[in-house]
Amino acid sequence: MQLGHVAVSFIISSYAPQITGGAMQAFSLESILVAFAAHWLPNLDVIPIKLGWAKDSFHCTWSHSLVFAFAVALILLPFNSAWALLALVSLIVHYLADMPSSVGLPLLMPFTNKRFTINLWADTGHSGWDALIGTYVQAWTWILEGGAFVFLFVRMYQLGVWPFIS
Amino acid sequence: MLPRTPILGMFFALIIAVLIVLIFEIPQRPFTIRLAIWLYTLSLLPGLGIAMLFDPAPREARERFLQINFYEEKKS
Repeated sequence: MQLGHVAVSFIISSYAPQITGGAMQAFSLESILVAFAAHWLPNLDVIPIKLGWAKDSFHCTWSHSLVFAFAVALILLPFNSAWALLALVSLIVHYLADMPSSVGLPLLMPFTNKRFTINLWADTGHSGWDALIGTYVQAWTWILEGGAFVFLFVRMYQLGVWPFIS
Repeated sequence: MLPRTPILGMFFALIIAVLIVLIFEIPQRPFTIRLAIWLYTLSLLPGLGIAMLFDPAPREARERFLQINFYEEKKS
């Protein structure tokens, strides 16, 4: 998933009260920032690749494992338990959103390198215009990512936020 | 892409938008025409995707990309 992560981050933020036991409000700046930061964190593994510090094959490895998600939550826990919970959910939802890609995710690293995928669309690389365009010539990316934007619209309607403010 | 695909996409978008209104509309806050246009416009995204399932070009593109390993070490 590429641009659909934007919609998914907002959707997670819309469920912030349920996830954090009321500690954060839906669509509050705090919940949006935490959900966005955590949800996009796994894809920052392209930075060391772009800087030449890691090989291309580093993409979708450690940052896309459950160990990473729990590690991030554990680091946040002493500072703010609501942030830790929302970050954990955001990271796990990121993995779910990426599972339809053929690249597969090594969710159980370091215990096994087995990659999990439901293989709905072919992976087109970790970054760049070719990867972006290649993603959007395939049907399921439109269905699932477009569906995420439609679902975000429904959440905004249910919660009465813009453009539903009467 | 086949010429019929965008037309089919518009049709599927209509179905998606109608289903969403039927399932999620709150009687006290009915969808206005403006919001219905927003909803239909967004529904075009998954609608087009469903239409692409009936088009050979996206399937061929997927098969083509599946042949490529984007993470293979480049030989210098």
